[in-house]
This record gives sequence, C-alpha cells and structure tokens, in this order.
Amino acid sequence: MPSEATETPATSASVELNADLNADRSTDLAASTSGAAPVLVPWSELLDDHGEPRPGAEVLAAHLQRVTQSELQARQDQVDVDILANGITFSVYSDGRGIDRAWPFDVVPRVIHGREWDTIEAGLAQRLKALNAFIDDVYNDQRVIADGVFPAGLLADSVNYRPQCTGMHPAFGVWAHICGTDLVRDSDGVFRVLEDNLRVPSGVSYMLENRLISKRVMGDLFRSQSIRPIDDYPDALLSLLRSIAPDGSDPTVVLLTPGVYNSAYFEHSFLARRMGVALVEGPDLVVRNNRVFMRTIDGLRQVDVIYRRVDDLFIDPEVFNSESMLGVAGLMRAWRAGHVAIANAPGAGVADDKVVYAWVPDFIRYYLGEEPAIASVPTYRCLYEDERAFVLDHLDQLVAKPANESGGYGLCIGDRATPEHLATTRAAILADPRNWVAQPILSLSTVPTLTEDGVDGRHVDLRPFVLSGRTTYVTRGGLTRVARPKGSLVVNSSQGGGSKDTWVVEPSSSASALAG
Amino acid sequence: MLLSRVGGNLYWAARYLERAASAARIVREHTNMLIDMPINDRLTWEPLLSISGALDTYSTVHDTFDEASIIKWVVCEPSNPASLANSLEGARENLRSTREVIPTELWATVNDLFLYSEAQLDHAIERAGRARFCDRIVSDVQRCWGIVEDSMRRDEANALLALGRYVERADMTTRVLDVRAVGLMGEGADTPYVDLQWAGVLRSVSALQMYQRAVRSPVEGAEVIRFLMGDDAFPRSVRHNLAQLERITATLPRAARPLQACAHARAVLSSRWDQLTGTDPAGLRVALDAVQMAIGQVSDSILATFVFPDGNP
Repeated sequence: MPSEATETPATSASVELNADLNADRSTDLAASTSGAAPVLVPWSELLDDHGEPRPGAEVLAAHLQRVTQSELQARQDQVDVDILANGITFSVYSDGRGIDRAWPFDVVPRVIHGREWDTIEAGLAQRLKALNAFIDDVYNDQRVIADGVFPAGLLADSVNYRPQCTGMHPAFGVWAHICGTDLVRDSDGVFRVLEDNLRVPSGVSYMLENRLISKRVMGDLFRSQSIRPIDDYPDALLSLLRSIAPDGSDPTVVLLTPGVYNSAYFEHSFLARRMGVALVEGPDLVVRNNRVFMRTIDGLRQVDVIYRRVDDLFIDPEVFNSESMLGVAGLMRAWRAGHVAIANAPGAGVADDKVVYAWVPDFIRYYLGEEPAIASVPTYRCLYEDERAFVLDHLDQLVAKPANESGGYGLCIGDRATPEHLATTRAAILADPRNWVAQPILSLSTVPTLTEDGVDGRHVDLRPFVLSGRTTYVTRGGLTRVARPKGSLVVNSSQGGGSKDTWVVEPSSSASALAG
Repeated sequence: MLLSRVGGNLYWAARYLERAASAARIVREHTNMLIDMPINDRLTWEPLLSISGALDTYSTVHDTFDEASIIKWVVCEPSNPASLANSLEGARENLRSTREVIPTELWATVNDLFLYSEAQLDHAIERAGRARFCDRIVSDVQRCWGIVEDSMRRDEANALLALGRYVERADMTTRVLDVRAVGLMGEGADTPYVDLQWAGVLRSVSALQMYQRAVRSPVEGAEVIRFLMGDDAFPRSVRHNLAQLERITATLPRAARPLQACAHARAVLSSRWDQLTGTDPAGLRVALDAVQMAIGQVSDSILATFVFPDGNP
C-alpha cells in the first residue's frame, strides 16, 4: 500500500519530508539537513520498480504495450481536431487581449486505484470540514486564536481576511462551498496536499471534457474495466447551490463571471450550460432594497444564489475595490441582509493562503479531534526567525512560494533557479517574511505521456474538487495536469502545462479483466 | 428567462451569420454571372461593394474597381466592417457569450465555420476556389438554422435569434434590389442579356427556383420585384419576413413598441406597392428606401425594448 510507504529510510533527503514542523516548533531544523542530498527517483504512476503495472493500471499498461506510437499519435491528432472544433479553450492574459488557446489534452490517461482513492476522498472531506470550521470561527468567535492554536497577528496581516464578513453565519457553517485541492504524489508514492484553492478554483470543466474526449478515443478500454464516472458533478453542484438559497422554494441560481476575456470563461460558460443557470456579468445585476436582481428581457428578476467566479475584492465596489467593473454595487449589503447566498462566501479565501496552509493539520486536530487522513507538505514559515534562517540557508534546496500568488507565479524552485533568481527571492523574503513559505522540493510522480520523441514519463499533479454543504461531495479523481517539457514541474496551463483524463479504477476490475 | 445582454448577443449573432451567408450568395452569383457576360461589358464588380454598403470605405483606399481587389474587400478585408470574414467573427464572438443558452452543436458549427473560413480565405480570391468556398459558407449557415429548428426550445433565446435572422433577410433583399434592380430598369432595360441578369438577382438571394415554381413564366423584371418584395411564402421576401417578425415579437413580453414598428413596416410596404412595382426607377428607389428605413426602425425597437430597456446602449 503506497500510503504506508512514508517511513522509507532512503529519504534522508535534504529536508526530512516527515518532519512535522507544526506539531513541535522547536524541531531541530539543522539536524535534518546534514549530508548531501540524494537524487530522488520520481514515482511512476503506471509501473512499479520491477516494471509491473501498479494495481489498477493493468489494462492501461497492457494497452500501451500493444499500441504503436503512430496509432497513439493518430488518436492524439483526432483529439486535437475535436478540441478545436468544439471550442474547448482557455485564455492567457499575458497574450494581450486574452487569446484563446486550444485546451492541451494528452491521450494517455492517469490511473488511480479505487481503494487508494477512497482514502483520499475521506481525507479531502475531513480537510474541508476543518477548513470551513476555521473560516467560520475566524469570522465569529475566533476560538482558534483564543486557544493559542493560530497566531492573531497572521490573521490581521492576511490579504484574504475580510473583516467585512465578521458575524456572518452562512448555511451549514460552510464558507468554501467549492474547493479545488492540489495533490502531488512524492517519490515514496505518498499523496500530499500541495494547496487548497478556496477562492475561485477552476479546472473542473476540463476534467469533465477530458473524460468525454477519452471516452471517444479510448472507448475500448472502458469496456474491460470499471472506471468510476464523473459526469454527475454539475448536478451535484447545482443541488449544492440550490440548498444554500435563503428561501427554499425553487431558487434562482446564477453564475457570475468576470466576462468573456477571463482565462476561465470557457469553464464559466460550460458550468452555466450544464446547470441550466444564467451566466451573468456584473452589469447584468442590480441591487434594490438589499435584494439582487438581474436584467432580463422581461424586466428585473430576483436572484437567490450567486455562484461567483469573481474574486472577493471585485464583487462589490461599495465595499471592496471601488474601481471594479466586474462586481455589483450593494452585493455585500444584500448578502449581509440574508437576501442572497454567495458561493464561495466572501472571505472564504482566508484559509487559502500558503502560510495558513501550514496550520491545517492543527485545524483538523483542533476542530475535529482527528489526525489528518491525508498528508500535507512540511512547510517552513518565514514569519518565524528560526525557520526563516533555515530557509535562507537552504534556498537552493527548497521551493520558496509567495503566500498569495496563484498559477505558479513567483515560485522559486531552488535546485533549478538561477543565482539571480535566488538572490531576488532572498531579498523578497527578507522584505516581507510573513508573505513567504518554503517547502522541500518534491519529486512529482510521472505518467507516460505522448511527446514528440515517443511515449515518455512526465510529471503530474492532481486537482480534485470538493463540494461542501449539508453533505460533502468529492469528484472521483480530478483534473490531472502534466508538465510537458521533460523534467519540468510546472503544470499550470497558463504556463504551458497539459492535462490528462484521470481514471479511478474499481478495485480488481482491471486485473480480472486481463485474467478473464 | 433571458438576460437582456444575452438577448442582444443572440440577435446580433443571428444577423451576422445571415449576413455572412448573404455575402457568400452574392459573391457566388455575381462571379457566376460575370463569367457568362461578354468581356468588357458594362457589368462590373462594383455592385458587390454597394450591396454590402462598403463602397465608401473601399473608395477611400482604392481607385480601381478590379475583381481581385473588390472580392478581397468584400470577403476578407479586416478594415471593412461588412466583410464576410468580419461577419463570421462577429457571429462567433456574440455566440461565444451565449453558449449556455444555445445548442452545443450550434456553437461548434459556427466555430468550425469560422476556423474554416480563416484558413481558406485565400481560395475565395481566385475564381477556381471561390464557388466551393461560398458553398461551404452558405450550407453551414443553413445547417446552423437547421440545428436551431431541430433542437432548440421555442423560448426567448430562440425568438431573439429568429428576430435577428428575419431583420437581416428583409434588409438584405431590399439592398440587393436597390443596387441591382434599379439599374436594370429604365435605360438599363436595354442592357444585353437583361433577363439573365434578372435571374442573377433572384439567384443572389437563392430565389430563382422558387420564383419559377411560384410565377410559372419566364423571368421578367417587374415580376422579380413583386416576388422578392411581396410574396407571402418565400423565406427571403420582405413581406414574409415582416410577417415572421410580427409573429415572433408577439410571443415576447413587453413587446408593444416593436409590434408597432412591425405594423408600420407592413403599412409602408402596402402604401408603396405601386411605386415598387411601377416602371419608374427613381420611384422604385424612393420606395425601397422607405421600406429599408421601416425595417431599420423595427431593429431599433427590438434593441431598445429587449436589450437596452433602461435606455443606455
């Protein structure tokens, strides 16, 4: 079982992966770095050390042995044509006015064994319960601070803390209704949470499209094994959104998008279509008497639930960024008056912070009285002098991350950064230590990927999506992102990453298919 | 329930789509006809510019009216807002922000057509590839309307698409007559092969076959005008489109103003009927202008009522 492989002694890596810095801050940081760093061998998702398929991957491995490179390439070419014709695109800001790019999809899927997925699913549900409890606590009693679990100063400094949300009690105590959690599998085969995206996480539409595509080009492989279906996500999302409406009966739900030039517009449109709800932009909405209305050809119509894909700071010019053209003046008043539900709730991002991340295992213990069921990555907080000194001394062996950037921007991957980059990162950490954390350089697992030079391993991560409301829903699998250049660890689509379908294979269905 | 903004996008998407198809029909037919005509005849490529309203912009850049320059201008010139390429892009951009309300296949077809035209524009310039290019545009737009007919609920979104389509058709038919028919009357009646040219007028709105079935006599100028303006059953006749506009508008909420505009347009068509079907080219032109203006008022009232009810466009 991969999840038991964490204690491998070979990991006397530059930084001890299993050191739990949160449980005991006095950990002797220097002790874990003696000696030279061994080279970590990435975990292969398909084959074990003996070249045998991992559990669940039997059918795919056999298929990849059978199929020729040119057959695979022909399927890939067909996929590329379909993607372009169906307009499955994402936009890139830096291209100027948001140019469309075809969604990059790799035909070779990534496989996860069903039984292993069950434990991850439980771990994610547990994690989101704790995160929501934390957010609700932060905006109400702040017990977590009073009890000395979380430092008060950090909250005050957090760029995602919104005092305007204090005293609110969203339905079910849930603030982060939709979460996209990034997971990576380290060189020991352990899935670890890399970060929680609680603000406006995207990617789920690509997860769903990837499955549609792979059913078209790899349909035969679905016949010989049971792959858990994922297409019920939009229904689950709609049920969740309806369940948080202020008034129960037949609520009107809308999806608020920044507009057609947003990088995730395709997804906004996709989800609105799959849920049958209106896709609105800020100017389509208006607040009257603390109620939100949309402008229809039949006049104003009240809105009960807003699934907003606009960042907090832009949703209401009355309260936040007064220049924002993306939001709706008075939206916060309507929300506070209880006349409209917003998902994710304003302020939920307070737990979506690479510094707060370091405390999540503590939140799980504090709020739930449980041990974390899913591992996270040891995280050094530059806020603390000793951890900062350690980070600065080992910058070339760590990944340094600014706390509030997303999309991989601002990252400094120590062992491959230029001396200049290391120097500017060092200066940035010294200038604003609260805003920086560092983690050991993980060796992301690899999946066979079709490249120009044939099928070759490429690094992947995984973004499952978690819906929280009265109950919790976890996608079966998630969006697998792949770094396309050889050796690269950057999987973000905005920086050239690709994607794969993710198959959670029902236990034993894969092996028995071959045996039979 | 339909957002006003989305309603506006649907209306314009339909107009642009229909406009692209009209441009393709006209280019195809004009090419077809000029190949038939004796070389150095009076017939020129210039009407292509006039019909699409691009004569003025063209004249500021070019001083010759040769085939290649004009076709290029009408089909793919980026700075000509009425070019076929710009119409397709307009259709795609407007539909892109309405994907949640239209059938998936409609978006895919328009997107695919846009990508095709972008890649194949050069073929439209040479005579050899032009017909094939135009055929594809026309048939793909027909496919779009087929998808709408076949799979879309008759809801408000469907209505706004229909309004855009009918307004554009009525408008285009009057433009074609304005440019082509007026010239073929009066002195123009002595033009060689005048009947062939009247047939060309019909073809440029895909009306020849239906005309022949309905009229059952050789093609003749006055009958052509009568058919294209007044036939109550032909999909591109002005009367038919005005009736459709009125029927669709009546299904929408708060439609008093556009209904009034439709009734007015119908009244103009009736009151100008003698001028339209008379023998005086100047009278025909005046009457066509009046009808065109009334169609424009229908369009304005649709936008003002459904898209910008607060008055600020």
